[in-house]
Amino acid sequence: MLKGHPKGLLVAFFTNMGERFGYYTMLAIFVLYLQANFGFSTSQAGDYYGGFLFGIYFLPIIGGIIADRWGYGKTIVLGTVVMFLGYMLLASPGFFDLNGKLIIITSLFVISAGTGMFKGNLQALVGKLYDDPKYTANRDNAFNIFYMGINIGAFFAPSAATGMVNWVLGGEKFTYESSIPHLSNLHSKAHPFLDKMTNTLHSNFSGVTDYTTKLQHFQQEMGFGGSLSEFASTYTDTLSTGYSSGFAVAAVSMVASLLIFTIFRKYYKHADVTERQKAKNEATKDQVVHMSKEEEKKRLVALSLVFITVAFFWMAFHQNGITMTIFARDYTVSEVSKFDYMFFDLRAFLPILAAIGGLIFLFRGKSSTKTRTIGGAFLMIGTGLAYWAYTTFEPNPIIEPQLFQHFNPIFIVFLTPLIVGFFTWLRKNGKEPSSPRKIGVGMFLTALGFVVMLFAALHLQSVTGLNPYWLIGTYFTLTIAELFLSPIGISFVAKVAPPRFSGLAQGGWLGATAIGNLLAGLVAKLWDIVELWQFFLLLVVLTVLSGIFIFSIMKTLENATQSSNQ
Amino acid sequence: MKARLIIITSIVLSVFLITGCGGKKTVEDLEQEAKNLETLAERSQNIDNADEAFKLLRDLNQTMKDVRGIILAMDATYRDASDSKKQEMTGEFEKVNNQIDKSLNTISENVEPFEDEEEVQKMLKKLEDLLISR
Repeated sequence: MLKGHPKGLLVAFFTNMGERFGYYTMLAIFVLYLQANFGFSTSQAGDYYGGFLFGIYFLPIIGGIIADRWGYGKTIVLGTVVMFLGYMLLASPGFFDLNGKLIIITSLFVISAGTGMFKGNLQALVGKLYDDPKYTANRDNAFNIFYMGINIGAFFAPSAATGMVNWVLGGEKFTYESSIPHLSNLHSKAHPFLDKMTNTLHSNFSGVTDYTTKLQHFQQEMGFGGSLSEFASTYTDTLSTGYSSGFAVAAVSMVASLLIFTIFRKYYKHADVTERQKAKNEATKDQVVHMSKEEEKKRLVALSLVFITVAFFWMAFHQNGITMTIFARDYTVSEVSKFDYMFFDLRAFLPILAAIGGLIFLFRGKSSTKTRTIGGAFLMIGTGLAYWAYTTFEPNPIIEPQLFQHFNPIFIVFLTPLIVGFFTWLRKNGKEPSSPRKIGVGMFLTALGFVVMLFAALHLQSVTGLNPYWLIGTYFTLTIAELFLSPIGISFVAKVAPPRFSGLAQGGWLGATAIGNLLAGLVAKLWDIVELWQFFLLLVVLTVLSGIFIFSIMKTLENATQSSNQ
Repeated sequence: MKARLIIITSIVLSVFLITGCGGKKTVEDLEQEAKNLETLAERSQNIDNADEAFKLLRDLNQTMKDVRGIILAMDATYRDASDSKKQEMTGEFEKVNNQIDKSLNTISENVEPFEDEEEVQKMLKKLEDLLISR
């Protein structure tokens, strides 16, 4: 898969992997942290989440402008340092009892600013590596591989976050119970109307409980001595420290990213030159690409049209961090069989994947004897380890909602080689669709993913809790859509952007993502207002309309791609 | 191109408009939910089997979820209100609460014959924690 690619791609791959690991570790617990710590409703948490994501993806526009003048490498290094400071600040309230909300808002801004300097510019740098004619044909595939790095980092993130939270809770002899922070919040303030309504409901349905009784039940279950208020505050504080520890993990991963990027600079150094820097240097002066204003305008229009459409993809896709996590918590059964739990526990899931990989190498037609032997070993060891993990599970294990978020990155890691292979095969047969067409197909696949959720919501009208495979199926479909859309989109931007605006154009791509994220937060507000099926139907309709739009402007987009290839 | 841009702008604006719906929750909203519960109570009088009981309880859960949202918003308003406003709110609430109590009583009696059915039990179990869930 890496044949025909420069070594600089690997440096960018691992740098991005570290940064994304930190980012997704933080994101996996962010909404839960806000709800646990501040008693936020879904809508309030959605405001913070949406605002933060907007910053993360909008500030790369400014980061791009800076890098186009200052240089990509330098801006990326500065961005990583700023992100480190931001994650440390985010972790601090749990350790130092500082003014929570103010610290949260400040740290979110600092993280966004650091990401702004990092994310788009690393993409621009990868694009520059493929300006070399001997690599140009592999640009789409390169971004698919680069994208895989993002998702390897993201894959381990939810488990790291969960591990940290459980470790900290375990230190106080607590176990994770998602409802305690909310119950504690109810217990800490007067709720006269809720108390009366609970009594009314209780007088007609005897099993109905009030929050005090429920909280007492948990206190007893966890064997906590002392008053109920002490239990409530100790549990919430400990959980908050657990979340803060997750944020600290994110800070540490920024250090790893920084080390990789600076130590292996020699592999991308030659591409780390802006047009402005080329023009100033006598030796590179003649390499500056001169483009007419008209050509630049044509390309910028094509880019803008793609940006507008892609915003709708991110609006739908980024429901994963909010409404789909809430769907997992509120509408998916939390108690599963030991077999189902194997997909949620990395000790079992990774060996299963290793065994599947081994199986493929064992029976693949062109495998050598050595490859088959390695494949067989993977199959046997993977199966053995998975079985061992299975035997360690409690009967009817509990799945935590954030664990669903590891499906998207793992699907990306395993589907990327297939998609790359598929596109390469199409290219060899002269049938590879243009980048804009791939993006259009991705939009329709997104709609299909939400059709699954639509059916799930309709099915919920006759059952109390859904099987986790509904959500897993949706994540699977959305992942294929993402692979058609996101890496290809980044590649399209790298290809079409006028060279003097490379950083800015990648920032623009991420800016479109920012608009999508803003829309994601707004759409999430409908969660408490409309019926579930109406919510998912809206997402289907919006993504289908966007797909139709992109095919309606296909000629303009393909013309821009062709002129960039000349 | 203009037409396409108008279409895409309209989609963005419609998302903003749709999400702008939903104002501050008041006792009037609770009165509306009380009416919905009254309708459910009437419906409960015609329940013939466990499936109908399950569907009724599912709708009851949804309505009580809406009630929960309104009540929590009212509690928040109550905490910051003046004494006279608090009295006014309590009076209005008691009136609606009595209506709700009556409807719940009817529903509870009519569902009781089907309480042993597994799906009905699950719905009842969900109702038990509903008001104190997120």
